[in-house]
Amino acid sequence: MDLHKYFLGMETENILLLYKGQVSNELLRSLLKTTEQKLEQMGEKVVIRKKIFNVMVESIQNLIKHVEEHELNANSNAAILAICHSPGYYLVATGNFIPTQDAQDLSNKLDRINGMNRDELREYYQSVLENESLSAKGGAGLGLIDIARKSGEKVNYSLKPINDNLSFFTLRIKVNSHRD
Amino acid sequence: MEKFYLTGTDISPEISLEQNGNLIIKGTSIPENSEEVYRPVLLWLRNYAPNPAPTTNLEVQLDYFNTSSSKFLLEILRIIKQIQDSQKPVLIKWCYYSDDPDMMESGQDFMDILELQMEMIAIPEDN
Repeated sequence: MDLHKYFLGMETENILLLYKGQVSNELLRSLLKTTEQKLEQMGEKVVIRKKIFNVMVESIQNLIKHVEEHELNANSNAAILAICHSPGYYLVATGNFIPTQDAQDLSNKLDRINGMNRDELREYYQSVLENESLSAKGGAGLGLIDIARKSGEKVNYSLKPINDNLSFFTLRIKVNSHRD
Repeated sequence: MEKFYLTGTDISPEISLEQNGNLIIKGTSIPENSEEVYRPVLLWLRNYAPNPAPTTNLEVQLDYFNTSSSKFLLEILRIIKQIQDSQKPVLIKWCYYSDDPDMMESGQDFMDILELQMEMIAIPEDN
C-alpha cells in the first residue's frame, strides 16, 4: 500500500476529509467536530460551515435510518463521505448502497426537487414538514429538500447498479463559498 | 407543575420550561432520534397550555437544527399557537445570527405553516 500515493491524490483533489466505513451518530459527531475545526482554521464563514454541516447531518442520518430499516449486512452498510475544497466552492459527496427496488423512487424524488426553483422548494419543504410532523419515521425526503434549499444548487446524483439487489447511490452537493 | 430543564450538548439543545411562562430553547439540535429529546418537552407543554402563565415568553435561539428536529419544533410552536388562539398573551422570539439567513428563513417557514406571529431578532454574528 503506497500511502504517499494516497497523500498526493488527496492533495491534488483538495480533499479536506475522506471517510469510508460504517456510519453511526457517534461517528457523525466526530466527523462534524473535525470538519468544524478544519473550516475554522481556514477562516470559513459560519453560514458556509453550517451549510456543509447540513449536508453531512442530513445525508448521514438518512443513511443511518436507511441501514436500520433495511437491516443491510456488513458488506452493504458501509458508506463513503468526502469533502473537497475548490476555489469558490466546497463539494460534499456521499456514496452508499441502496436496494435497487428503491432506486427509481429516490431518482424520481431528486428529479422533482431539481425541477423546482427557490420558491417552489420552499413551498414543497413547508408542505412536507406540515404533513410529516409527528409521523414517527417520516423520511419522505425532507432532508433532501432541505439540502437542496440550503445548497442553492441542483443536487447532482448518480445510481449505479451493482448486482440484482443493490445499487450504489452517489450524492454530490455544491456549497458556494463566495470568498476565493 | 415542576420546572423542566435539559442540559445542552453538542447534539441537543438546552431547554428550560417554567410555569411562570419563560420557555427557552437554545443551542444545537441534531439528535438522530429527536423524539427522545422532544417527547418530554411536548408532554410538559401540553400540561401547561390549558392553564398558562399570564404571559408566555418563548425564546428560540438555535445555531443549527436537523430536519428530524424541525418536526418537533413545529409541534412545539403549534401548542404555543393554541395558547395564543385562546386569547392569552404570548410572545415568541426567534433569534438568529445576523450572518445566518438560513436560520431566519427557517423561522419564516414556521410562521408560514402555522400563520403565527414571531418577533425575528438578529443577534451579532458568533465568529
